[in-house]
Amino acid sequence: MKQKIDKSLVKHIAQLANLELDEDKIDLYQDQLSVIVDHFNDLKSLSFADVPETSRIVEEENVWREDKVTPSFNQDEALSNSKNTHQGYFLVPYVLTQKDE
Amino acid sequence: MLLDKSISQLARLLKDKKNSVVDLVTESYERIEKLDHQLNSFITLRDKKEVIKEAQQADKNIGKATSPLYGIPYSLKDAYVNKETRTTCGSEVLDKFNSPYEATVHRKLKEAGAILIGKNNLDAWGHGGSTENTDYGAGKNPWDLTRIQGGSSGGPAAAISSRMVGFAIGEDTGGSIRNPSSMCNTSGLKVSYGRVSRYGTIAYASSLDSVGPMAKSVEDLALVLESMVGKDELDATSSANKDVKYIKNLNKKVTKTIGVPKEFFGDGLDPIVENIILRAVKEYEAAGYKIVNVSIPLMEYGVSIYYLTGLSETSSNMARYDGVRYGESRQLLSDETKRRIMLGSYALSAGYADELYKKAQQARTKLIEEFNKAFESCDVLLAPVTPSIPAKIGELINDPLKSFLEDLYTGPINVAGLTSLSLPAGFTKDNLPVGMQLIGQRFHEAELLKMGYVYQQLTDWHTKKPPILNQND
Repeated sequence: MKQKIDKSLVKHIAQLANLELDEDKIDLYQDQLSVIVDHFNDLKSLSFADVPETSRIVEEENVWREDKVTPSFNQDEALSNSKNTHQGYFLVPYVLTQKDE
Repeated sequence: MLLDKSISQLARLLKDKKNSVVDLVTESYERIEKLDHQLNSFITLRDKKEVIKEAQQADKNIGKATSPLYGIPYSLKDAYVNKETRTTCGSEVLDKFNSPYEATVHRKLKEAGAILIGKNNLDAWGHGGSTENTDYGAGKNPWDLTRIQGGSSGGPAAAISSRMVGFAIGEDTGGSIRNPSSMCNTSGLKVSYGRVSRYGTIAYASSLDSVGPMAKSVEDLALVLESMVGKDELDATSSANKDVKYIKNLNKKVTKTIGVPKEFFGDGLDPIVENIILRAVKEYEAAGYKIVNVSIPLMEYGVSIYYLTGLSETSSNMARYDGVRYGESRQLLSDETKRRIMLGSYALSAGYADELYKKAQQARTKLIEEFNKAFESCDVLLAPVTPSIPAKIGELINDPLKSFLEDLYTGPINVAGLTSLSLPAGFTKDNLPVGMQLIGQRFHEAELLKMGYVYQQLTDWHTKKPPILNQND
């Protein structure tokens, strides 16, 4: 059940993860990820037809609290670690571009 | 050497005014200045003058002290946010990050009167088991400077081992407290999921992360833990469970049954480690404990179940580091961290999620059942912490799969939400420490601490200090 991660998959995952990879490191990532994924793939031999998933270990009850106003960061504190602010706001990179760009 | 004494001995000396808080803090800084350039156990120290001032104030108020932690110097793994210093989490991405708020565990320790000295080195974001994946210089083992100190809470373990602080707070997602405790000959407790508030912990994997004490002895762990626990409205997963009296019955001798799980003694376990752990089993047997063999068959897949869970969660948690609200660009993340994020993104991506992430969560259900079954025939499990002795620096960081496999005995404990105590169990011929872990059911910390206390009455491994101290002090 060996499954080599190919270069295009490495680039696809990097894009999903919002990571830019140095072109000269892609071969290394490909090798290292393949070895690890190959190990993970051992799980595929197990069959758990109707077994429920456990994604957290907590008491199965909601935690309620009164909805009251409590102290919070002021604007200066909230912005204090950002390098790009403008008139009391965070500056964020463009996410939309025009069609002809 | 004051910081070689137990917390309760130090508390007594302070109370009787035989020593002052200033004495303790001064010794702490002196030792760090003398030794830490060799160990890299701290990333950031607080300004000494400021801390001495705090200590002088504490000395003035010593009469009002109620907690045994009053005046004791401690350090935080640099994965906890605080206001006194920056918080880097071992990564350049947070090199200049000054948190506007503080972790609940830090607030509680300050309220008890303990004195923060600085922030300890770690594998960035908790991503590693060797304190080599850090942008602040690889941590070195005080027992052998050519070897790793373990990780990811390597800095706290090395700092305690070399008597730089009275105790420290680590964080354990898949072994990060237990592994360095084992490698540096210190004691460390991975608490049950929910036992201690995670508020203000920089998240690695949110369903696995746990906040725990690290110290020279089990007795000290019990004292520190009592100040850390409790429901916190800032962490909805913190538990209201009230079984938190750790000191009161610590020396109550209780004969119990110890389970030895065979999957923790299989292929890959270094025979040197195995012999030391089996000797500890015999020591418990001689002390009146019943020994039974148990089995957790899914441990064969333990590394995959742990990493598929942890890396999926970390790929999500790490998405926030985009350099907008705080921190530098995520391009500064290390190769190890990028690899882990990519593996998690892969396990969650369309076409693979059913066969990887979902399957790991189903296996998690079964693994918990297997542990529960084992606990039907015993009270605690006894096992090695890591399969190997501390590696040479460079050996693991360049072999990612080998590095993952080192977590075989620890990661699955977090997956099941259990508690586990790591304590010194002996030394190799080359004088390298080897630890064992006692694994208990969820919220059975008190039972583990009692059993660990028994062992530390029978043996003196935990009192041994590294050669770096003998040469220099």
